[in-house]
Amino acid sequence: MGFLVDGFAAAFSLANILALVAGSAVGIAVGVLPGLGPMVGMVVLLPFTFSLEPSVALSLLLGVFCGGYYGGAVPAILLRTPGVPSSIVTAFDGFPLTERGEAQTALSAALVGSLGGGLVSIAILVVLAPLLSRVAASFGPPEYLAAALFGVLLVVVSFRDRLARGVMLLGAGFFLSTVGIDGPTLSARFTFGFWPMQNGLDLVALVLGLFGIGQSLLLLEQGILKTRRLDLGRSTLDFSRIAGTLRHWRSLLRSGVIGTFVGLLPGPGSVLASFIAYDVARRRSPAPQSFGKGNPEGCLAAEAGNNAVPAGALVPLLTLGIPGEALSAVLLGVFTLNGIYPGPLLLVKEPALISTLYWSMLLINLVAFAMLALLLRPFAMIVRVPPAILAVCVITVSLVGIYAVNTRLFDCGVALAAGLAGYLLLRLGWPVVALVMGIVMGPIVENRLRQTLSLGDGSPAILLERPIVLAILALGVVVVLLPLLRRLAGRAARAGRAG
Amino acid sequence: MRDTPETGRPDAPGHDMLALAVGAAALALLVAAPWLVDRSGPDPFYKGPLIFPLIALALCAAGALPALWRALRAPGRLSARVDGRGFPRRAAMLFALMALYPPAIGAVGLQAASFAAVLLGLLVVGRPAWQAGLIAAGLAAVLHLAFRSFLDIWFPQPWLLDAIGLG
Repeated sequence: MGFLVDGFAAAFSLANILALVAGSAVGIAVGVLPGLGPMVGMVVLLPFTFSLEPSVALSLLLGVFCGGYYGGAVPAILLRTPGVPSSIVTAFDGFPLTERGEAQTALSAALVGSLGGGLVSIAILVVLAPLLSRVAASFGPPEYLAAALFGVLLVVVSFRDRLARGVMLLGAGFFLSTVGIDGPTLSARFTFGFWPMQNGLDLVALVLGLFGIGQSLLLLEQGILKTRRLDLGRSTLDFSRIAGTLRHWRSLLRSGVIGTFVGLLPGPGSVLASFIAYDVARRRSPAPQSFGKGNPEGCLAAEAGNNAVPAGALVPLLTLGIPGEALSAVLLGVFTLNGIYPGPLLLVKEPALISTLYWSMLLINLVAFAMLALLLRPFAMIVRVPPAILAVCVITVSLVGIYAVNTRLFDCGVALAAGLAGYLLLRLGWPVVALVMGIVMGPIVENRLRQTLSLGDGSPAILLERPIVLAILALGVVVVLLPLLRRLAGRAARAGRAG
Repeated sequence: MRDTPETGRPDAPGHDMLALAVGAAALALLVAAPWLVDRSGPDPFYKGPLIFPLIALALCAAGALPALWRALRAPGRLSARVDGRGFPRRAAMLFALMALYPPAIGAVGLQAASFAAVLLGLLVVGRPAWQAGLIAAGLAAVLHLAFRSFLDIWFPQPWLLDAIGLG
């Protein structure tokens, strides 16, 4: 645990503190705003990170990541409009409490839940990451390939009802990552003789276009808020209510653990974490019938569950280099653009960076809690900003930001095209996350595939000679087949009952 | 246009049409890939630049197979109507305007282009002129401070301003 001390000074440096405060503020603001969310905040800030130290850049983006979940609870409780999708579960009990004039009780429970879930998940991250890293240290290219494919598979199968579209977008993402000059062979691929394409399609331009521009265009078409009522009672959080919510400390710890382990799995994400944490809290409660009617424990459990996800998602990202969803895919982009390649050796090679990351996560949770508690009314008022103004401002800042990354106007064109595609896909409800996963994971999968095939002299049979690969592949088969078998069993049971 | 229950379904005709279009594009690229990738290097196929794009495009095309199956079974049900929510006029106008913003930066510089883009953008989406002017001036100043003064990003010399002697 000596390495934890190494990053302490870096985490408490002025630049890092400023970055995480700014990131948390932006995160809370975009979290409070229904329709934007932490992804838009992260991609808009992405161009600003290139002039920063990697640890400072990561603090900025992690601030947005975590801050978004803190902010998302506020409109869910006050307006029954979740700022981020996972906060819909917080609204189950939060809004009834607001209707009874107990908004402060609901907000206290949600904020304490967010803080508790965040702290529990950081503790698990600190313990679990080195353990998984030690296992992953014995990995060769075939194992990495299998792990990467398993991660991608989990993301795709999480869109069960849209599986074909998930596969299609994953393939499209892989393809987009191949455009330009191929690094190992220096061969031009799909450039159509157009020289700006030789540098490839910039990751930042694609992701910013898909989410920043696409989501902003969508904002224009959605009438998001149906009410202008904001009944807070006071401008800050009522701290006297916090003690009352701490009675549910068992639920807090349990939800934090649930959220962390759901976050570990690529695909499911924070919505599932919130639902499971809420459901377990309800089942274990002496008064389960009060859930859904205004029980503060429901707000606490849901927020603890979703706020534990970011730290959980960092475990596979740091140890295997596999992002679980779009937000950690953006973080992976920041790592690789700074020449840092997450994997089992990252904890050995960059202990100070990892340690700084842990301390920063801790600080982000404390800062986000304090900011939202003390500036509750100003943050809540952000929901009144008309979506049209936000859309125009986000698109403008995004386009200048994209240009700033490589000082190429061509990248703005890529972002605009990606924005158009993102708008269409988001409007139709296609799983855009699969596309982003393909774009980010494409180079990793291609590199490992080449190394694996080289080891086997061109034969993929080498995959079947490695026990870890076989275990991962078997797990992949189970993940794919289990829902099918369950569905068949359900059908057989229904047929039996009908018979 | 009203949204109908069918348009929200994963196998709705509009979704299938889009899936088929993407699948067809992927198939066309898959067939043309050997000519669109420089294979003049000495590497064998398994280490070469073509193998991964082929896998990617095959995956992309395979994703369209369920839509193709449904289209073959009932060819008349395909529709270009994507979700029944009508044409997004405001989004289209804003997008068209923002497509002109990057070239405008090259023509008149960051501040003037940003001011014009935000001002016109806000007017297009229906904000009052005074509000649009105020926000446009504020954002143009913020962008100048953030990107030129703080991040020291190079922007092209505005050719239009140079041409009329204002550069």
